[in-house]
Amino acid sequence: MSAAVVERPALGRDLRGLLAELLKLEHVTGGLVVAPDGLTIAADLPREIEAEPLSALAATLGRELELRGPQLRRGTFPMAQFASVSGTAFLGSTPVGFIVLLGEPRADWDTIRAALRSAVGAVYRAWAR
Amino acid sequence: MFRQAQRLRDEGRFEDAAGLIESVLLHEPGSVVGHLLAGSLHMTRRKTGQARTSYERVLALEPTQPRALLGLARIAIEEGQPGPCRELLSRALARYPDFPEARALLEVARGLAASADAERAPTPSEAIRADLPAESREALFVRRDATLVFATPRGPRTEAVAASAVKLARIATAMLARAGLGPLRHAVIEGAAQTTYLRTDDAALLTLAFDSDVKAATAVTHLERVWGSCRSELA
Repeated sequence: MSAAVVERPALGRDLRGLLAELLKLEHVTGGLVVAPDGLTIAADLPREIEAEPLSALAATLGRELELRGPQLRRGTFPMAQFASVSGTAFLGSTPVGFIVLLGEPRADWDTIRAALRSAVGAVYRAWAR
Repeated sequence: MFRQAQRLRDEGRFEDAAGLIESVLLHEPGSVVGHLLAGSLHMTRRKTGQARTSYERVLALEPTQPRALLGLARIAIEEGQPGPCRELLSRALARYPDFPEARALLEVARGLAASADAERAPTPSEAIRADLPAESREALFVRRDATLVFATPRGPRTEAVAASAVKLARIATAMLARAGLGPLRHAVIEGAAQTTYLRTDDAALLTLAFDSDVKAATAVTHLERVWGSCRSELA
């Protein structure tokens, strides 16, 4: 996954395709791409989860991290993860918005973070052109 | 023209899309769609002040336009103004009760205080000080009502940092709830030079910041140990 994203920078332009690739990771149950204004760009979530409110909150969280971060460091947030006992949400920041992945408790955090980091990099490269 | 602008936006040509909308609005200054698109584009480019102007123009034309109310509410919450945020969202929901994004954001805004009622932060006790790892650059322990318990190092912005950490935890908890997951317990936030590790429960929140080259497993071990000491002391 990581190598595929790195070698295909054009994939960074195709946010739906990018999300679809990330959703192939083991124990990832869903995800979405949301613009900084909260507009859902792409979503593939379990049926019981509504995309719009999740997008609105993900964008709010992403902006909060961009603006302040936990230590008030402006603009230094490429990626974050938020875990409960039932699973983890991963959040990546890109020029066009935020990528969110939902993982089961048994998901491999390192694998998902590496793939998300690669995807975020692909978006940066593709949209900087 | 607006469709063309939307297409440009979808292609990531934000400056071109904004320029096109701007030229259209010169001829159609009363276009709600145009101002909404402009606001959305400004937000995408992280130009909050210009987005606010666009959304305010929409409301001047259509006072209950839900997307403009939501956009302004999002800006208010970003700027740490939960009161105005709640008011804007309530206006949107009064007109459009079935507005899931507004409802989700209102849940967060209701839980945020306008400003933290932070007391002067005491220094950590000797027991906690002994537990703080040498590699940790910053440590913060705060009650979930944003009352600071301790921070090290301390500075003029410490209270603001504490309020920001609590706000972050509230938004993350709301997002996890909407994702069908339980309340926030751990977070890892990567920065350019440092990574912040967060541990929380319903009563308190601890953050430790480490240089990015510190291994995650090491940082988490430190976090759990300090968390145990902090929670014991708080109890």
